[in-house]
Amino acid sequence: MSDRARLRDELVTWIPNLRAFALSLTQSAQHSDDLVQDTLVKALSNLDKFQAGTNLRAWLFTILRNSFYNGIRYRKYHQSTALDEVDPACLEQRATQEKYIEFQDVLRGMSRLAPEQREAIVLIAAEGLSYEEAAAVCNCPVGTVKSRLSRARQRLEEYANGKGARAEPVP
Amino acid sequence: MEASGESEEKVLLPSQETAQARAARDTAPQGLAARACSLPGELFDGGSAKLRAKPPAGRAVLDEARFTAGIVRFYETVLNEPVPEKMLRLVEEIAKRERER
Repeated sequence: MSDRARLRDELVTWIPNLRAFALSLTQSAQHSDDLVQDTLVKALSNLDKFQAGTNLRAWLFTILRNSFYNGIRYRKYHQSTALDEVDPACLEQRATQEKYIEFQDVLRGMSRLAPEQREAIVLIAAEGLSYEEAAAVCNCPVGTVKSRLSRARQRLEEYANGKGARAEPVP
Repeated sequence: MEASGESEEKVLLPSQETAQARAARDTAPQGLAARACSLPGELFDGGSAKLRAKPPAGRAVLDEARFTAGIVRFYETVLNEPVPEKMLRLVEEIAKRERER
């Protein structure tokens, strides 16, 4: 098996993580899958640019993230409607009604955060990346990741207290 | 003495306050998720002005551990979903095109 074929196989194993990361960024089941497909096309077209021995997952996340923020510029991937205004039936594609109810408060809390804050929480808490790895994916200093987490916490506190009930504006 | 009686009615003894606070804490739902259910305003009541005018009963403390655990569970749920066929087909098609080149 060639190196390229091996990389492609490894890439496929990361698709679930890409989908979860994309969903946390876009907050939309449909847009997140579009974003993942864009990422797959870009990654497969640029596999020769991947440096062997480095972290493929981080490389893929960086591509996905860049696609997301480029898409925001074109208003392509961003779900502008807050999740509490979305018909729960739309989310049934993603989860059963029971699951939706279980997660809706988490989703609502997340929808109150800026994408940079969401990605910091997800990369560190859910993906288990170190601050350094998350900073590399986000192309920012470690201190910036930490301050985003801190601002996210503050924002969630405000949300829990009924302040700042509107979603963060898109940068 | 009457004024004094009114004053006594308004001021709760520390022991009574503690008991009330404890009772409220014991019966209140915990964490952000539960706290969200008691938020005033348009989030959960369809924008009822009457409810929106009510101030929050007290400052809630974000239950970070519970919130983070919720995110992780949600993330894991997505991770456990099968990869959509269209994505696997896309990868296969790109590989096929490469081989044909």
